[in-house]
Amino acid sequence: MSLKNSPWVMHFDTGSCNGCDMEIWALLTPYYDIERFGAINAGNPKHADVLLLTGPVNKKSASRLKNLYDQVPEPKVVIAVGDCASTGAPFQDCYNICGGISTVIPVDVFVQGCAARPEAIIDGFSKAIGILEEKRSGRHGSERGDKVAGAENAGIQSQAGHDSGRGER
Amino acid sequence: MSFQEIAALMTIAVPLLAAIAVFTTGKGRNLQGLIYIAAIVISISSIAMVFGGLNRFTLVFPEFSWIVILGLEILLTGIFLYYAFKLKSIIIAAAAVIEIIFSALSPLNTAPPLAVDSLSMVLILITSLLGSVISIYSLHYMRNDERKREFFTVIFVFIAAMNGAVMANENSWFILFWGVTSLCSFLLIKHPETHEAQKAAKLALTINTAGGAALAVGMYLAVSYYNGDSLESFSSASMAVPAIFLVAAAMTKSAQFPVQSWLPGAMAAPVPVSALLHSSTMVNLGIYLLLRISQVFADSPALSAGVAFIGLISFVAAAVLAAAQSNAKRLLAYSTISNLGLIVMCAGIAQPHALMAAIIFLIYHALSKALLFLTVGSVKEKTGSEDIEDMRSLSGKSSFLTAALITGIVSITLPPFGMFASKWMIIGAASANPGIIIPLAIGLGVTSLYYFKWVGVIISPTDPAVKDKQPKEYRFSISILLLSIIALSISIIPVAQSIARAASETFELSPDLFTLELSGGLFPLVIILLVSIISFLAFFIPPKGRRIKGYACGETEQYLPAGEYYLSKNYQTIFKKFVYALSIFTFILMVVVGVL
Amino acid sequence: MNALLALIETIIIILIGGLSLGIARKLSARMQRRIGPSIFQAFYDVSKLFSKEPFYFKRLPIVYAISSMAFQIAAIFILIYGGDTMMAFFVSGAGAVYLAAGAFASPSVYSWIGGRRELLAIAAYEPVLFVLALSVSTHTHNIILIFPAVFIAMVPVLSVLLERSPYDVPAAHQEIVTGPYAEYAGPMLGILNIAKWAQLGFVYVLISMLVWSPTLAVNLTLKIVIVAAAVFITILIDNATARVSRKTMIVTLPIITLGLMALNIAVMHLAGII
Repeated sequence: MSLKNSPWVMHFDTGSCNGCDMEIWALLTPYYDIERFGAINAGNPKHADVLLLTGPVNKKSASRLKNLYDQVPEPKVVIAVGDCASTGAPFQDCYNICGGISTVIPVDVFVQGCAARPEAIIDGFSKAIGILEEKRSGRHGSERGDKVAGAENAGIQSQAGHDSGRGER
Repeated sequence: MSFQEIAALMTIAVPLLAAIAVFTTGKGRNLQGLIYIAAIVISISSIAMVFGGLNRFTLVFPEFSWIVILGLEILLTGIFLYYAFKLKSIIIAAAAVIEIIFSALSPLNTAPPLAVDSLSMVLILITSLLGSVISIYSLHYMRNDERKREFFTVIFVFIAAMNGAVMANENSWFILFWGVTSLCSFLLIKHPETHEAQKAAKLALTINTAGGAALAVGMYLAVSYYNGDSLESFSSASMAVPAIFLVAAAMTKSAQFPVQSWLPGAMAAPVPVSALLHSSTMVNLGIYLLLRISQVFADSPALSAGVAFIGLISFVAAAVLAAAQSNAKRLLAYSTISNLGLIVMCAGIAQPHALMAAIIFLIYHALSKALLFLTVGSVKEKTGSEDIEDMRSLSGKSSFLTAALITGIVSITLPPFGMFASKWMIIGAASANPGIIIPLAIGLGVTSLYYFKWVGVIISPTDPAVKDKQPKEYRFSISILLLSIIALSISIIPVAQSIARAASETFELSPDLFTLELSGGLFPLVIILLVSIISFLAFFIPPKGRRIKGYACGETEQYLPAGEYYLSKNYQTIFKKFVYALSIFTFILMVVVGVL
Repeated sequence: MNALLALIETIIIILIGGLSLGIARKLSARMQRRIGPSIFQAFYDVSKLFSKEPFYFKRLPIVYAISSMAFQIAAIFILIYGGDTMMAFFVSGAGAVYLAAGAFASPSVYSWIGGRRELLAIAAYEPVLFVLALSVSTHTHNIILIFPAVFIAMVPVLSVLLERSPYDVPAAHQEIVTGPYAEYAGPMLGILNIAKWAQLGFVYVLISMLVWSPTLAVNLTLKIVIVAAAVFITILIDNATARVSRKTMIVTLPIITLGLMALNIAVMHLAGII
């Protein structure tokens, strides 16, 4: 109940082209108004419940990402926004890229699209809130690893459907 | 002679004897034992005097004592002239000559030379007890000093002179003791013999002898033209003209704008001197004088407003300047000027509650400033620096010194400590004059700003914490002050009540005027105490959860920024000039309106 | 019995402080034609924070957070119980200072900067609260008729306390990642949030003491209206301005507020009303 009503977000760019970031900032505008869910862009891992990540993880940002992830208190969820964050997409084999977010930290929700549409992000966000609530009540923990792996595959498969407006988990 | 009178005389005689003993003892072998004995005897005699009762009593001496006093005054003038010649200062020489001429010209009077009432007792207690504690502290602090015999001699002479000054009733005695405290201050500032110390000492002597001259002139006028044979006789607006001279003298002693400049300079002296003379005792002498003549202010609105505004200007301006200091001793010097300004303001308002607030404030201020200075001295010995920036993460190095510094600071600024009770009474008194309210509010805000900026530096964390040896030799003095502050804060109500009784006797006003009006009764105070205990107990809650590093945008390195001091040297100078102009203008306005 | 009643009222006032934060966010959202969060958002936030994992670095920040809350609550209690207004003001000020001290004791450059800004903000707004508390304690009945400037001066102060532009310098949201709160997480952040509610509640009680009426219903309505008006104006100004620098804050906030009040006092003094 309580977590559902107040998901505080921390947004971190692990090396994106800023396309997805712009879509995330669009969520704060009156049109999409993500604050109606009680969300705040906290900007501080210690206050956050939801990590909203964009871009492929480059080698510089990997340790920072890990660090920030550790500083988010439990329970927490991670949303990888956009194709790059999900798989590394076109940058996958670059010399300085580790790959998608899930190569560094466990991801709960993948949002596809290049750039991901705001509607898709909101959809993923609402799914993430559900997972957050499950984690708090302890129903989620045990099966978490499997779901992440499955979701990762799903992300790769729907790479082309970037304008589909669907959040994928 | 009664037991109480002997005890009172002993508070003067014992330090004098101790001074002679220290001076004549060879090579400082027995110094330690001697100082311990002197400290204990001085403390016991001052406490015994208070236990004899709070009633006023006078001490009468044989007829010829005036010759002794005159002789001593001539000797003092001789010393002043010697230093004036040495320092090539005409002002000091002129001031010394004026002082001796006017005190010699004063006709003989029949007032008893020494009189002790409850206000004197408060100041004697402060001087004797703090003097004892600080001289024990200095034993270790000055251990490597070549001339520590001279140092302790002057310290004990000062304690005797200070006790004498607050007991003095007859004018010439008061002028003599006042002059001796100025001389002691000068000698002690000069003690390190550095160039800076010499310069500061000269400035202090110039301003203080000028103040002494003003005092002598004021006393002479009072005796010759207004039939005022003693400090007691300053009781109505008809005494305005001599009172103005006395106010000027008090301003020099209590370092109020525009004659404050000697006090920050006096920080060149060793730490125990700053703790004893320049923050907790000698500077109180000016306030003592103002409190003694406060009935003149109560009678004359012009003088009252003038003194109150000079105090207020010093309070706000010194607070702003303190926020710009990075040297801990200089910060404390400015905060002393600022807090003394608040007390001067109270004395100027001269309403019963303001007078009571002034006395309570005096006690707590003396205690907490002595504690802060001694702690800064220990920190300096530990880290080799008295700069605030070098005290970073002190909490990781010495929890004892941190606790002492924080208690000292909190006791000046925050509830539940005594300062808060007196502040709140000041405000009750100040609400009588709406012009005071807004500057007072600004000053209070700035005060918490500069103190807690300092606290912030002290408690900023290190990871991992470095523990090192604690200075055991200083523990005794610092712990005593720490405990007495805490004890006084817990017992604020009984303390305030006995101060109220003392004040009503001193100022010969009805005790009904000094009632502590506590709407809601004592229960709110109990709540504050309870909350403070909760905060204290919070230390013992075992911390739960994951231990985690600070947020640094995902980086692992942490950099803490340097301190912030708001005003550059240039702006400080401009600001000071502005305040000088303002305070001189206020003083002239007070003189003109007061005399007319 | 009296104390118990005061305790219940204290709790209600703290809850009103929390509610006002939610209302302020809703109001701000509506002014921007957004739907905005629920008006109970502050309560959701705090109940969430208490269900989160606790972090700690050292004991000191925890001690200061608890002290801050305890002092803020004690301030309201003293005020309601009928204690001295000035005493309550000092207790509340102590709570505010402990927040800054907690920030200094935390291991991050952001909380350090936040603590310094918080101290500056305290130095800027405490004088205004001081004058308000003093005028409330020395005059009775409809003070707002004598001191309209005190009410106007409360708007910038509320702007600091509600963390709204132009004077939201200490917390400053993303700029220094919420400043003094940066290093607190989970339950400790919840405790600091409650301290904030209590501080707001305390200020609302002070503001509501500016008006008075003998009839209970009229009295309550007047008090609610004046507090709501102050909050509404603050939010309106928030939506029309940008954050100022701390230097601008420390210069303009006292000049605007204290200047107005000084003018007010001078005029009233010359008119012979006070």
